Amino acid sequence: MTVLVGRRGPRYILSSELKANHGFAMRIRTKKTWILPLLVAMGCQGEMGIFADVAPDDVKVIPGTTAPIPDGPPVYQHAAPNLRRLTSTEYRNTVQDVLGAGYMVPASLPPDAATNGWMSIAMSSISVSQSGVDKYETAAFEIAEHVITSPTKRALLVACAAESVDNVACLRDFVATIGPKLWRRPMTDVEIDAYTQPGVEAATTLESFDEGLIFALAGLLQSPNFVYRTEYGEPDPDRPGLRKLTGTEVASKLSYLIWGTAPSDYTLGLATSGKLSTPAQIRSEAERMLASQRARETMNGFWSEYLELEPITSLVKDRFVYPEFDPALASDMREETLRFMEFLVFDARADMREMFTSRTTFVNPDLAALYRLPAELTPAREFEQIEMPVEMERQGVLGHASVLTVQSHVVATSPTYRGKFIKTALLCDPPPPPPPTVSTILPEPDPNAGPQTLRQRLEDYFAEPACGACHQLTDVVGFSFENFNAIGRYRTKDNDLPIDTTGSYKGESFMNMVGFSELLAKDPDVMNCMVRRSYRHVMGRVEGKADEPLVLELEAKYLASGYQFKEMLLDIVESDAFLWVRDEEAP
Amino acid sequence: MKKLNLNRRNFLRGAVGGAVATIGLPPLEAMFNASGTAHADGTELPKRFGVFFWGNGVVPTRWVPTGEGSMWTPSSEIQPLVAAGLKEYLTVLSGFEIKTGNPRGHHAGAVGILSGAPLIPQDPGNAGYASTFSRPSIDQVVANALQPNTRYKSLEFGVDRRVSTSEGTTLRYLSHNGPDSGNPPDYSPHAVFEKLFGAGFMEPGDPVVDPRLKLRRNILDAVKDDMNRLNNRLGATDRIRLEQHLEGVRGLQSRLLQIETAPPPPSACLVPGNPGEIGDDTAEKQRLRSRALSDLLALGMACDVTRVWSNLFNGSVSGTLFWGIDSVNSFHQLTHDEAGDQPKVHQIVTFIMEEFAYLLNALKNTEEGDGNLLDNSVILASSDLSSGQRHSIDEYPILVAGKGGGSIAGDRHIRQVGGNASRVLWQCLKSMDIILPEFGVDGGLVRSGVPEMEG
Repeated sequence: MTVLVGRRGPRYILSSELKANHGFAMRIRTKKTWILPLLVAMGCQGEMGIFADVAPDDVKVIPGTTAPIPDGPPVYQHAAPNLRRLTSTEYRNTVQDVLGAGYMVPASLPPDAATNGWMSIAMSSISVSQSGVDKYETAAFEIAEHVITSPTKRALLVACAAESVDNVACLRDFVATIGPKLWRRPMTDVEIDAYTQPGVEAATTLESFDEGLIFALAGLLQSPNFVYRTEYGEPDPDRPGLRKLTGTEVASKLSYLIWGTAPSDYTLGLATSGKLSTPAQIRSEAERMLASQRARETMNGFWSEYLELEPITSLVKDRFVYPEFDPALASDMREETLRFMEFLVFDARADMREMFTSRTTFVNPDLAALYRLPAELTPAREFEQIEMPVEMERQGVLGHASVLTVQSHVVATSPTYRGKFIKTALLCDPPPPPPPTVSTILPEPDPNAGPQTLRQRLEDYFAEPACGACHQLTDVVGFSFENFNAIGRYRTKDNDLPIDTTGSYKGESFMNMVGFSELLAKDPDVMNCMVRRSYRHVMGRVEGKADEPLVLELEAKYLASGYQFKEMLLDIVESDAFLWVRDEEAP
Repeated sequence: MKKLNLNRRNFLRGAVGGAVATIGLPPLEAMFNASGTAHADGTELPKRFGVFFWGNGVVPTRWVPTGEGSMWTPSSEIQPLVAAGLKEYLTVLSGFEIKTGNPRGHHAGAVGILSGAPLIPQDPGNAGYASTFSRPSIDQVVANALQPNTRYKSLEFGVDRRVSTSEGTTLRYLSHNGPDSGNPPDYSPHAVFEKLFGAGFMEPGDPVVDPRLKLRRNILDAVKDDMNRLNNRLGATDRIRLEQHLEGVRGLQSRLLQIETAPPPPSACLVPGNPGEIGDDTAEKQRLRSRALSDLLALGMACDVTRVWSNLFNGSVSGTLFWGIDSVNSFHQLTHDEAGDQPKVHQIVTFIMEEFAYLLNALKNTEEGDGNLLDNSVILASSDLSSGQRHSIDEYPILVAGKGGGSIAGDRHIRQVGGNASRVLWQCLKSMDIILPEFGVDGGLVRSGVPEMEG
């Protein structure tokens, strides 16, 4: 096993705190994998780098990313294309947009999943199970029957009336019109026939032309060409070994990224007239799409995943301690954060570091009550934009009830969860798990020592080196939020004792969450992590060594743009990684 | 054949859900041979295989029984099963260890005990941790080996929906076909009812053949052709994924064909009422959910809808809350925070064992031949670790319930300190008449079982 010592610039070196603790930064990629016990036994001694993205000499291939990496100056290496299953949201949006608006697809679909922080990664890696196939079939027939038996929707989709059973031409025409829209690409004659023929058989057997339409449509919806995004491009003689996505594939990839649905006729039109084939053309269309309301809705999903807000509405809190907490309030909490992020990205066009420093936010009466805002800042009914008063000691997204609530227990706060969230989601530097066999029980308070705050108890715990080495990394920053309880309400006491929110981050001290948020805003690692996580979301995979040159370039561009989020997204869309994939069939 | 004059649809209506004791199904002597060990036509009674899995472990000091062999005394955590009259059906295996390493608490034990192989970590350093199985879980090993001609190859269900959704398939699903290929459980009693007894269920003696079945199969031929065309253009990993999807399509086709051609279900088959949706925000509802699902399982197997099942009672790590205890904290949090000998964790484990006992009794009360479904079952019950507080994988909590059609003695406590837990899996397979030269991977690799389990 080879140990590499921070050879790739500051981003790979541990924070100054860690360097002080451990002396050096280690980055090891284990070979495929089960060498882990040894590494875990190392605990936090260098653990921050255990699974990092620099390969030691004995591992030349990073699975799922690229071919062996030659020596020499780092250049971006293309990844293989991947088959990405539509999320349930994308499936529903596509059905609604292609088959008729206003119809909420009620069917139960195979469950979504997330891996490494993104649904897009899980959708690019997990398989459809037997029960998933069953669910797709049930959903397909449910949708097809609804659409064909609804006279208004049918009229929009089918050229002929429900006439003679053997109107093969009309049935074929239906498949040839609807199929390419559902599949986001042209169909071959073979494919059109493949769905027309069993449709005709259904019409004949069941003596109903419309039954034929239903069976053909249900088939199109079960095809892998509908269920998956298949962006595998075509060979380009100018760039052997690579495949360039076709115009319609680019249209599809852009549309799912920015609008969460199949491409519009306009975007497809650009594709078919050859106007989606250069990076500049792609960027320009992405820019147009980002200006639409639909982009805002899709980006809400992005931030909900980014900030780990997804579970909030199914969270349970102690009903005696937090009687006001219910799914409706949870949903309001999430809405505050999504409105805030939308405001920063689309309305204020803010430097994204403001997500930690801004006192602008959006509250409704229930949130105003939770925050104990003065009457003049309490909206009468709906959400309104407000400025959080300075004396509230609450700013930025980390002061939102949503984040504070998700990263807490049922009754108690959790400095550990809060710190782990910051390290994992915001710094791309997740802490390691507790080493096996170490007891995780918080020692019982010494009955003679009198009452303690949670912080005091946790700090006693740090005395155990097996625990403290790691908990110091998470809990110290987590302590800065201790005056926000498990649903994010301000408090000054814990266990009737005054709360200490002071600490230090990368060598600089802070007084409370305001000070800590200011330090986070100054830390380039946070914005670099945003680039990295956005790149993962777009690509549907975690970056490997081969992506590093491109990711570094994107980070530099993000800095140069003044941390304009849309610019960063456009830079990814314009990059080589968006338009080109490795040719798997190439020798 | 003996003719039954029952309105089967109504016979058990309302009996599902635990409010009413499970009804023993009438043995129909004409269906069995003289000794009651086989069907009248000579085919043997089928064996069934199940996995009962709960997350977050046990309190080891309160789990391990005293005494060994057939002279054993249950521990307090196993007592609920004994109190429910199930001692003769229990084999307690203590002292065993997961030998595939413990790189990550919860993940490693779950993968080890369910597949005998190590996990695949999916943690590229600066992204959050995830993992998946490297091999199929044992329920799928059994299903693939038996290839029963039942409508479902296997049935996956779960009681508590709050499973961990962000750490890969390991913690999210129990049943796996292989890496990143999980079989998601149904958590809704309504959905499980629909799956077993809804569209596609043929009543005994129901001769109607729906022409749509064949038409649905036809359409799936076109879907398969698309998959084959697409397959040629994919990389190796995606080919495996698409092949899995294709296998699901083939499975659906054969199920549709089976509905068209299969003989009517066994006459012990009775259709219950739909239990509907049941919430999970009180202890009573948690019990009702669990019991409705257990009843549906027993009835489904009496109708031979499936022979392999798995029950993810509650997920690992996740914020599962058990309401019947004096704490509002999640099971997982309690395993970490509760000091001493963890009385609240103990209460939860006891609750889980009470519900497991209900499930086993639902099988036991379903007569078949001169025995019952539990006589003909092999059920592996275990968790993702031993002590949640320490993430330990030694002194592993393992139970085997059922007699495997006579291949398991029952009423035993077998203690092997440091024994390879994969041996139990090997022996379970053998009890299902699946004899493999070896099973497991790396430290989990074994070539023999636990013969002390045999009669």
